[in-house]
This record gives sequence, C-alpha cells and structure tokens, in this order.
Amino acid sequence: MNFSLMRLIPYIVYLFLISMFQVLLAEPLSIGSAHIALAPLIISLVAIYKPQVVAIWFGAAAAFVVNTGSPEAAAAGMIVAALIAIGANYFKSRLNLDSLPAKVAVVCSGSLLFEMARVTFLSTSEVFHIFAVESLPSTLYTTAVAYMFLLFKDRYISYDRVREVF
Amino acid sequence: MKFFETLFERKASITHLALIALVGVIMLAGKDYIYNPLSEGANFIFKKPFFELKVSLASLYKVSERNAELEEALLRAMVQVNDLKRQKSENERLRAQLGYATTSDFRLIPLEAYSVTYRGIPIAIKVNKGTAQGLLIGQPVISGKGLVGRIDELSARFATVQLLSDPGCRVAARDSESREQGIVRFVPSRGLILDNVPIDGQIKTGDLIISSGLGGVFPEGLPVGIVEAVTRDDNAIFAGVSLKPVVNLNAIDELYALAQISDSSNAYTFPLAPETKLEGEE
Repeated sequence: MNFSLMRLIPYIVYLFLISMFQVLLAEPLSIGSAHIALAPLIISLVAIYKPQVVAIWFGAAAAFVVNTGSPEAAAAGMIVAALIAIGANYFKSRLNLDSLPAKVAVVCSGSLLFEMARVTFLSTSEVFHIFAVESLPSTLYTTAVAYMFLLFKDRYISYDRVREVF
Repeated sequence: MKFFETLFERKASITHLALIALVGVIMLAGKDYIYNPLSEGANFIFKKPFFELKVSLASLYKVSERNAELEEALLRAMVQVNDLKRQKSENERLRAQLGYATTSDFRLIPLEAYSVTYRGIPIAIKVNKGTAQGLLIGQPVISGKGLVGRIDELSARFATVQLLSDPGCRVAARDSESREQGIVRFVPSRGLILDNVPIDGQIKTGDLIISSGLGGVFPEGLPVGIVEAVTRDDNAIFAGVSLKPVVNLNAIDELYALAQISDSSNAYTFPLAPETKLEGEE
C-alpha cells in the first residue's frame, strides 16, 4: 500500500504543477490570445512515457482539477483527457513512437482536442471565431513549448552540447 | 469474475474510458452530493494555496508601489523641509535685525559707534548722529538682538548712548512668562539684575525679561536679558534675579535709535520677537 502511494506522488506533483500554472503563470506567459495548455501537454507526455491505465486516470484527474466549478466541463474534460491518453498510448505502442516529430505531433493533437472540447463548452455563438483566434494559436504555442521540452528531455539539447558550441 | 479480468486486460482502454464516463455521469447526476464536495476539495487542495499566493504577491506588488510613492513623497517633503529651514533661517536673521515688540510706531535711525567709554566694562558709546538727524534725549537704542541703552547726551551731530551696563541706567521691565515687574539695573558687584521682584514671584531661570513700557522711556516688549539665576532669601522681601544681557555689550555692531513718530501712516511697525535668544543659544 505504501509502495502504491509512493508511486502516486509524481502524479500528485503534476496536478499541483498544472494548478499552479493555471492560477499563477498562465496569464503572464500568454502571448496575445495564445496561452500554454499545460494540462493536455502533461497528459500527452504522461501517456507517451507511462503505462496506458495510469495515463487515462491521470488525464481524468487533471481534467477534473482544471475544470473545477463546472460539472459538465469537468465530466467532458475527463472523457476527452482519457481519450487523449488512449490516443497517445495507441500511437506509442502501435506506431513505435520514438522520433521527436511524432511525439510533438501527439502533443499537438492532444492539445488541439482539449482546446476543442473547452471551446465547445463555452456555449457561445462565436465558437468558431474563438477556436480560430484563441485555440489554434494556443495549440501552436503549446506545441512549441512541448518541442523545446522534448529537445531537452530526449537530450537533443543538453548543457554539455551547448558548452561544446561555445 | 474471470470475465471482468479478461475485459480489463484485453479491452483496458475501453473499460477505463467507460468507467470514467460513468464517473462523469454520476457526478452530473449527484451534482450537489458528489460533484460539489469533490470540486471544493480539489479547489482547496490544489488551487487555494496558489490563489492565496497570487493574492499575497499582488498585495506585495501594491506595497512595493506604495513604498515607491511614499519614497517620492518623502523626497518631496525633504525638499520642502530644506526650503522651510532656509526660510526659517532667513526669517530668524531678519527678525534678529528688526524684531522688537512695540506698542507704538517707531522709525529706526541707524547709528554708527565711533568711541566707547569704559569703566572696567563699556558703559557708554558715542555715535555719529545728533539732533540734526532727529535724535532726542532719552530715546531707546537697540541692536539686532535687544535693548542696548538710551540717548544720554546730545549735540547737533553726535550723541552719547548710556548702556545698560552703566550703573546709572534703569529700565522698567517685566518677565515675559510670569509678567512680574521690576527694574533692570547694573550693579558692579553683581552684574545686570532685575530688582524689586517679590520673593514669592513665579520668575524662574531662563525667562526672557522685556521692557514693560512703564515710565515712558522704553517702549514695551524690547528684549533686555535672560534670567540667569534666582535667589530667594527667607529674610528678604525681594528675590535676587541675575540677568544675562541679550546684547553682548562688548561686541556691538549695528545700532538703531527708536524715534517715535506722530504720523503712524508712515510708521514702520515691526513684529514681536518673543523667541529672541542669546548669542550661541540653541
């Protein structure tokens, strides 16, 4: 039991990271209407690097934490996040997802799907407009951040390599 | 049981997705009893600390802005204080030149001393103005800080000023604090004293003694001396009050005769200087 709880700690830390980003950093780091969608980014990365079941339930928990205050959005977000986790895991296992562009494409797709779900639940008549001016730039911004992260994570860029250049 | 195990193994993703959908439906169905407590719990654990941090940071930023505003205000105030200090200094300097209380209107006749008569101490000064310039016997003579004496002898172009340190000089005076009256005179063995002050009077060390205006020679309010010591002998009727002259009679620079004028429209009325102090006194 203790061992299982210990295994949960990283995911709880991820949830805190998502909450902290949503409350404190999302606004300062946004560029115009584009913001970093950290929740789908982390869900996609967890789905890429961790087992499927873990990714599905982590995605559901993350969507719940992000959408507190709106039960409909929370329920839909949980399903969408689970779908992102399943999709990412599917690509990883079936298509041998090892290359950097493939991982970035998975994060991009997950982010886009999450944004689509979010915009759909805004219930306004300008869904397509919001999608065009907010969701697409946000997806691109999130993808760029994921690309940078994966460059470091997969050691395409490292401190030693940077030092070698100079 | 075997069926569920197989289902979880082979169709894990679909099963878990279905479970999550079920959880979602249950949350929507039991919004008040299930979703709201869970949502509040999640908010409390995951978001509230960061919201509080955000509020603290915002207030810290406001404090920082306020601090900058206050620093600027302080700087402005310091500039104002310095300006006021300069004005105060200028004011004190001008009041030292002109600041005497008068109940009548006077004009100042500047005098220039050209000889001093000594009897151990300076007792008289000869000045360069006389009756031709409007001087009269008995006119008060002042310097920048207080009473110096009075015109004692006159010629057409010269005059002799009897100083306070002359034993023959008498000035009707009173304590500016307790209003008790007496006569200021110089006693060679005791220096300047205030005579005829009742032993039970309230006069005390540090009080400013000014002319009382009684007798008609000196106008009221001219600073004469500061009480240096008060002695009260049980067998005496009067207290012994020693004074320190407000004017250093050994170093007199500028002298003015106070000439009373009948036409007050041309009068120069100068303000009371109750805070007139001795040289070197803070």
